[in-house]
Amino acid sequence: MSGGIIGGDEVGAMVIDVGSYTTRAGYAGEDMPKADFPSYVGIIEEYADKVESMDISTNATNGEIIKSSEAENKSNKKYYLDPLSLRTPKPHMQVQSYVKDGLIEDWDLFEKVLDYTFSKHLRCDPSNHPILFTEPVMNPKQKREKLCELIFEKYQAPGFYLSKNAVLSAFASSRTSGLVLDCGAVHTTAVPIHDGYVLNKAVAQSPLGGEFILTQSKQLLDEMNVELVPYYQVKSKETVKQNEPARFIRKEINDLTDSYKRFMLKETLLDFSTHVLQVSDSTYNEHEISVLPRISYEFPNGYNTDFGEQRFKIPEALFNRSFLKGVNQNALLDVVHLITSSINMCDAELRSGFFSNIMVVGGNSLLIGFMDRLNYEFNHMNYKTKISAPPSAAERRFSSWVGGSILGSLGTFHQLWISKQEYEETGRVIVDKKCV
Amino acid sequence: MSSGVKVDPECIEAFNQFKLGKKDAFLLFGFNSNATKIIVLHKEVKLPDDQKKNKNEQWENLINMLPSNDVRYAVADVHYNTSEGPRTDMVFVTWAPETATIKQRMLMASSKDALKNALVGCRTTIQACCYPDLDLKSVVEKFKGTLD
Repeated sequence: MSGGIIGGDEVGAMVIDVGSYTTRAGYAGEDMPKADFPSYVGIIEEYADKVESMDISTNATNGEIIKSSEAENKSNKKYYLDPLSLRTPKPHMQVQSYVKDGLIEDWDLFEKVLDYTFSKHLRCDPSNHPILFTEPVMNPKQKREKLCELIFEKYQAPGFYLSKNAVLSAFASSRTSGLVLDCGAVHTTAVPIHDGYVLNKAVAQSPLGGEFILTQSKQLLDEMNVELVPYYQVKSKETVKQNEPARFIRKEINDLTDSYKRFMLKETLLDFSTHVLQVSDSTYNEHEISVLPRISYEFPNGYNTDFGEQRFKIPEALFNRSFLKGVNQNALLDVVHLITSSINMCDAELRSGFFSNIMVVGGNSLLIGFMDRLNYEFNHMNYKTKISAPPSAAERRFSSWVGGSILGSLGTFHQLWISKQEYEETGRVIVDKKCV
Repeated sequence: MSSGVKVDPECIEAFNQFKLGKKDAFLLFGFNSNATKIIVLHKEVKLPDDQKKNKNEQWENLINMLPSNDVRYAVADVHYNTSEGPRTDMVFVTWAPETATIKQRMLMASSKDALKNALVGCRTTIQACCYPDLDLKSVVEKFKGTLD
């Protein structure tokens, strides 16, 4: 690749892509992020009576007074930021996410994460590198400005740029117009893009994302009376035959917080769903599916059983709302309707262009059979459709990071950064002018 | 959002020549070696009318000249028929095959606006990612016309 030449005036930018499940960070020009870590942080407070003040802080977004008093309390808190120590059970450790609904919510926590990212993952001084952030399509003005301010005021970065994650994904697959279906952890979003700009009014979002699949898996396991024991509770286990009760010794750790337990339960469910679940390649048909081979899965405690129809039933809800359990079905849109309703909100002239350029990105689309099913569903429509997705799993998960990485590495892109000088002249509103 | 890549003035000149419709059948644009500018890579000379079997004959040449592992922009004329008689229209083609590197494709996508805005009067864009995308029949459909 002619990478060396393109990076003629090397700017050494950093690219950070914050997601609901993980955050990706690395240097522009590389084809993979240097770090991909959970968007969760473990916190231990020295004094248990401080817990209340923390609850307030997570709810307060712009209460300056609460912020400053909270900053004083910070000295008593201990943070666990790397994935390993986050997962190690520790008494009284709360696990908190700084991202809510795909947006950065807890700025103090986010600052800690950035500090850690710069010092440990990227090992660099942020004041020497311009920083490119990706942002969700729905990012409100106030959060964009806050991020801009944080990067310039606290980290003294020489340059900053924000760009929409869906646009980056589209550019990375060489399209300037098309519909990006982003299957994330919390949301599935359909984003129509025309000539490099997001058509904001036609963005459709549905909470049927990865987390939803995990909740449904939990429900299934509860119904089957499978006790889900995360790894950290298993001291030792014996091999048992299929469907026999597990024989294992439980490790007793006291004073674990609910948030830690929930986090670990999710991790266990994630392993289960990546290995077991599959999307049926045509409309769910119990009879046809019952003849397919069953898949055996061993839970952390040694209990193992095999799954047949259930494997298909859970992800089927992404395509067919009647498979949803315990939620209001009418309030949610399945994947196909999400795409069609988003496209139908656009100008009539553009619609056929969107149907023939559907790009699928995001970790949740890695469910086995997801793409086949999507193709199947659209074959039944009157439109000429073409659905594409980045070829490798990593590229699909990191598509917006990769897009940002390339953009940030272009020698010509440095003219577009918001420079520190521009920020100082105009203030934080500059982000609304320069990063559209 | 754009990459900041500049359009070489030569491109605009070549395009204005092309619009006059005298000499060129199509134009190919690409990046210079350090990817700071978009330059003209090729001008295909128009065959005289009496040597042509059909008007769109040189469309095939255009497709053949698109590399399978690099990105290009192109401007060409498409001839088609409507219920109101024969028409000719200009199309702007962006070419980015899946086999090109991501970097090239990203560069192509993020610089497209710069070139497109410089080429005044070229309204219809075709995003081509594989050779079938450039099938003349589907191109003509964009103009709601037919080939015969």
